[in-house]
Amino acid sequence: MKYLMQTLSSSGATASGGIAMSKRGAMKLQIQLFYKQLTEGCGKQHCTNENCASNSSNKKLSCDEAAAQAILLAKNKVELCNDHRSKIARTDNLRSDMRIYNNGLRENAEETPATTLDIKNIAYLFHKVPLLKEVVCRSCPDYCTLWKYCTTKQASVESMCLPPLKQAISNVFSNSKLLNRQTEDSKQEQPTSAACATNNLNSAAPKTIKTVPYMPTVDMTFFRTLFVHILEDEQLQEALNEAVSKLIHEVEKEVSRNPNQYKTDPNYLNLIVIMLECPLMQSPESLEEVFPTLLKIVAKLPLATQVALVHHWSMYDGNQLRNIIETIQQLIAYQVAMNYMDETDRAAHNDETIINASKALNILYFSSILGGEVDCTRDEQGAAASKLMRDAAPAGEDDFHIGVIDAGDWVSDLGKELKLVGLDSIEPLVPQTEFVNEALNDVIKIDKDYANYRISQQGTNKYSFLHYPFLLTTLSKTTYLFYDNRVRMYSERRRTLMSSLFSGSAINPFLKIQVRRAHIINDTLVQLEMATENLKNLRKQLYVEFDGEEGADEGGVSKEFFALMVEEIFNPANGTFILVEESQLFWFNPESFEGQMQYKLIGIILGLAIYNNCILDIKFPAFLYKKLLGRRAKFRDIKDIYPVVYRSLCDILSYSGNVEQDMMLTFRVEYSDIYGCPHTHDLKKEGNKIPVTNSNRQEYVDLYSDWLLNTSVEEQFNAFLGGFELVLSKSPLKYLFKPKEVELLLCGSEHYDFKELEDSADYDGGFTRDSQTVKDFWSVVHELSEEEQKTLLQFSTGSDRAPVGGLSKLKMILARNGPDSDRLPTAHTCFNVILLPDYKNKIKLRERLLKAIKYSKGFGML
Amino acid sequence: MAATRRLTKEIADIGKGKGSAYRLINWDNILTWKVLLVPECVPYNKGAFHIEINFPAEYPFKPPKITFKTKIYHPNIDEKGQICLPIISPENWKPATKASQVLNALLVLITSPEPEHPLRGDLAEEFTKDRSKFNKTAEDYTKKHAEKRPTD
Repeated sequence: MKYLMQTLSSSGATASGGIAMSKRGAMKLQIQLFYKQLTEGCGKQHCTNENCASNSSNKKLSCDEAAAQAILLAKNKVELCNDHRSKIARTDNLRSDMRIYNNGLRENAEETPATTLDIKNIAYLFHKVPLLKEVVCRSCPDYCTLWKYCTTKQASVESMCLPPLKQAISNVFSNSKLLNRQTEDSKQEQPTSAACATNNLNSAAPKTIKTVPYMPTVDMTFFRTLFVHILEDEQLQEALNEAVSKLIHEVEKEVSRNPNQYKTDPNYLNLIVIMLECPLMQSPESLEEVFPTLLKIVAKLPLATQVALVHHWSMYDGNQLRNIIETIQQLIAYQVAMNYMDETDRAAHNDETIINASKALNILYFSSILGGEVDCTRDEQGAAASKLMRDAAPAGEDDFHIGVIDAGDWVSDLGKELKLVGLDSIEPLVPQTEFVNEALNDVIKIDKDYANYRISQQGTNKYSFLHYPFLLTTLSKTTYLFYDNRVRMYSERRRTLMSSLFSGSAINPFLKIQVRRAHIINDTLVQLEMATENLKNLRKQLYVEFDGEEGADEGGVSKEFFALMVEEIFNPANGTFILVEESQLFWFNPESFEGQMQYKLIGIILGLAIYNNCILDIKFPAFLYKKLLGRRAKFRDIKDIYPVVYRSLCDILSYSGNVEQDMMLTFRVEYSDIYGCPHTHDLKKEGNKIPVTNSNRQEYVDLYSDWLLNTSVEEQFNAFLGGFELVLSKSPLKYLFKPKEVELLLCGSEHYDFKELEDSADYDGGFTRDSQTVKDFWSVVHELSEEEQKTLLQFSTGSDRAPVGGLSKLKMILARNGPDSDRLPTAHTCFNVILLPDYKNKIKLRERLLKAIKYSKGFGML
Repeated sequence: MAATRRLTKEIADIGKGKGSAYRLINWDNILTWKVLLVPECVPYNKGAFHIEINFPAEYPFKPPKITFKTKIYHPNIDEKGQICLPIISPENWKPATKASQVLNALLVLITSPEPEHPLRGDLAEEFTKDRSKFNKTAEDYTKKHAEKRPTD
C-alpha cells in the first residue's frame, strides 16, 4: 500500500526527490556556466573578472584546470560575470536577439561578431546541444524562453511575462519533434571535461555497448531543472499538463500507425526518458490516462531499444532511478486499488496498464542491476560436475506431453540480450525490494497466472507475472513453485499410471521410502540410490513409511522423516559437516571420510525437501545457496561463516604498515581439522617461500577465500550440488529465487523463542530468578520487537544468531552490577553475561536497556 | 607455515625481555605458550601467576585465548581462570596485534581492574566500596595461592 499512500498524499505537488534532484541539477548548471566562462569568456571586451577568459590579463587554462576551477567557483558561489545577462531577460529582446544570432550563424558559424555577444548566454542553453542551424531557427525562441525562466527564476519571476512562457511550454511539450530538438545529435558532440567533471551520474567507467543502435541523447539536467521550476507556478503546470497529454496521445497514435518508426528514430527514446521523469506523471489526474498511455509506448519498444534504455538508465544514480520506479509502482498500486480490491473475477494479469507497467519496470530492473555492482562469474566447474552426474543417471523416457520446462527457458529476453540475470547483481543501484509491489501481489490469481505461463511456454503471447519475478514477493514465488512442483508430480503420476495400463506391470506412482527409525540414514541412502536409476522417480511425490508403523504419509510423516534425517546428517559425530563455532553455522568437512555418495544423497534430500514443500531445520551460510544457484563464493562471503577471519583479512587489506614484516604470512596456509590435527595448504606453488606483502595481499586474500570457500570443499560440494540438481534441475527455482529466498524456502524464517532463553538463564552477583529486577528484565525482553530482541542478542553474545538447538543453548547469565544507578547495562560477549545495575523500577530498566542495545555497535567503555 | 613462522618470531622478540613483568616458560607446542606473570603492583606483587596462551591454527586470523592457571583474586578474572580481555575478543581482534601487546594489555588490566565490567560482581563491589579491604584480601590470597616470584 506504500505506493498508493504516496499517490494520495503527493496529489500533484513535487515529490521530495524532485527537489533534491533539482539542487544537484542547479549545481551542475552553475559549474557548466563557470566552465564556459573560464574557457571562452563572457565576451565583454574589457572584462575585469579574474575568473573569465575575456579578461586579457588571465592566463589560458587547460580543459581540466578549468573544470576543476569551475567546480571550486560554483561551490564557493562566486559571482558570474555577464551582468548584461539581465538585459536579455525580457522576451521581446530575446526574440530579436535570436534572429540576429541565427543570421550570424548562417554567415559565420565560427566567429560571431559583437552583436551576438549577448546571445552567449542563450547559446549556453545548448551547451550540450550542437547548434544546428535548423534547431535554432525553429525551436530556439521557445527554448530560450524556458531557459531564461530557469536561470533567472530566483531573480525575477515578474519580469517574465507569463503568456509567452505558457506558450513556450505548450509549444515545446506538445510537439515531439520540437522536444527532441533540444537533444538532437548531441551525441556527436565531444564531451568537454566540464561535462565529465560534473557528470556525477555515474562514477563507473562507461560500459561497452555493442548491440545498441542508438542511445538516448537527452540532457536530463536541463529538463529536471525545468520541471522543478514549472511546478512552482500553477498556470505553467497547467500548460505543461495540457501539452504533455496532447503530446503523448499523438505519439501513441503515431506509434501504433507506424511501429517501425521506433527502430530508426531515437527521438522516441528521448521522449520516453524525458516524460518518465515528468513530475506530472505522479499526479492523480495522469494516473487515469496520460501515464498509462506513456507506458503503453514504452511496452511496445523493440528489444534493441529496451537495451538502449537499460544502458542509458544504468548511468543514473540510485535516487534518480528510484524516482521513476516509484512513479510506476504508484500507478500499479493505484490500478490495483481501483479495479481489483473487491473480490472480482477479473485477473490482474489481463490488465493492460499493469502489464505495460511491469514491462517498463523490467527495463528499469535491468538498469538497476547493470548500473550497480555486478559479478557475472559463473561456477563453471561446479556446473560441469553436476551435469556430469545428471548425465550419468539415465533420464528415462522423454517427458510426457505436458512438457517440462527447461531452466534455460526461464530467462527473460532482455536478460538474454544483456547477458545478465538477477543473480549477477551484488549491489544494484536500487534495492531489489523496491521492485516488489505488495499491493499487486495481494490480488494476483496465482493459479490462473501460472496456467497462463504454461500456455505462454508453448509459444503464444500470454502474459504472466512469472515473466517478471522481481514484482513478486517471496510468498507469491513460493506459491508458484508449489504449483510447478505439484504439476510435475501429477504429470509423473499420470505417466506411471498410463504406462502400467499399457505395459501391464505395476509401477509405483509415488517415490516410496520405507525406513527403520534406528537406521534412517542407511535405509534412505540405499533406497534413494535405487530411485536415482531413473530420474523420473525423484520427481514423484514422496511417500515415507516408518517400518512397523501405520502412519499414512499425508505430509506429516515426510516432515518427521526430514526432521530425523537432518538431525542425523548434522550430527557432529558423523563428521560429514562441521559446526563453525564463531557463526554457529554448518559447513562441509573438508577432511571428511565420507564418500561423495553420501554428499550426493544429502543434496537429494535437500532437493526433495524443497520439492515436497518441507521445511528443514538446517543452518548453512547464506552463500551456500548462492553456490547452489551456480556461483562461486567470494571473499565477502567469508563474513557469513567466519566473521572473525573476514575482519582480519579486511584489516590486512587496509593495513597501513608493512604487511610482510608485521603479519609474517606466506602463501601457505595452516589450519586444523576437527580433531585438532594441523594441516597446510599451498595457495601457490611453493607457497611457503612466497611472503605476503603490501603489493600481493589482494591476490593472497582472493586465493585464500577461494580456497576456504570453494576448493577446500570442492569434492564434497560438487557431489552435494549434483544430488540437489537431480531433483531440481528443471525447476524454476534458479530463475525465480534469490539465494536469500532459497534459504527461506528451505529453512523457514528464523524464530527466536526468548522464553527458552529465560528458562535456561543463570544468575550471578546477587540476582536470583526471583529478584524483582530479573522479573522486570524478562518482562521487558518479551515485550521487545523481534528486531530489538535480535539486537539484544547481538549486544549480549556478539551475534544475532541463535546457536544450534535454539536459545536455550545460550546459557545467558544475568549478573547484578551494583545498586540502582544511572549506569547503562553492559555485557561480556565472551560469556554471554549481561551486567545489570539493580534498577529501581521497570520503566527505568526498559529505558536504560533500550538505550544500551541501541548504541551497542562498536566497543568501548561508557 | 604462517602461524608457526610468525609465532617463532614473536617468541624470539619476547625472549629478549628478561626481567620484565612476564616470562615465557614453555612453548614446546608452538600454539600453546606457558607464561609466568610477575606483576609489580599491590596487591599482586607478592607472587607470580601462571597463564596459558592458546593460539588457533588460523592465527593471526583469529585471536589467541588466555587462561589463568594460578588462582587470582581479581574482579575481571573468574574462578575458572577465564578472562575477558577486549584486545583479544573476536570482535576487536586485529591480525597485526602481537602477543607482547596482548600480554601488556593483560598486565594493565591486572594492575588497574575494571569494576565496571566485572566477571565477579562481589569482588567488583568490594573493590569500589572498600579498597583497603579488597587489597588486604587479594594480598593474602596471592600469598596463599600464587607461585614464588623468580629471583633474577
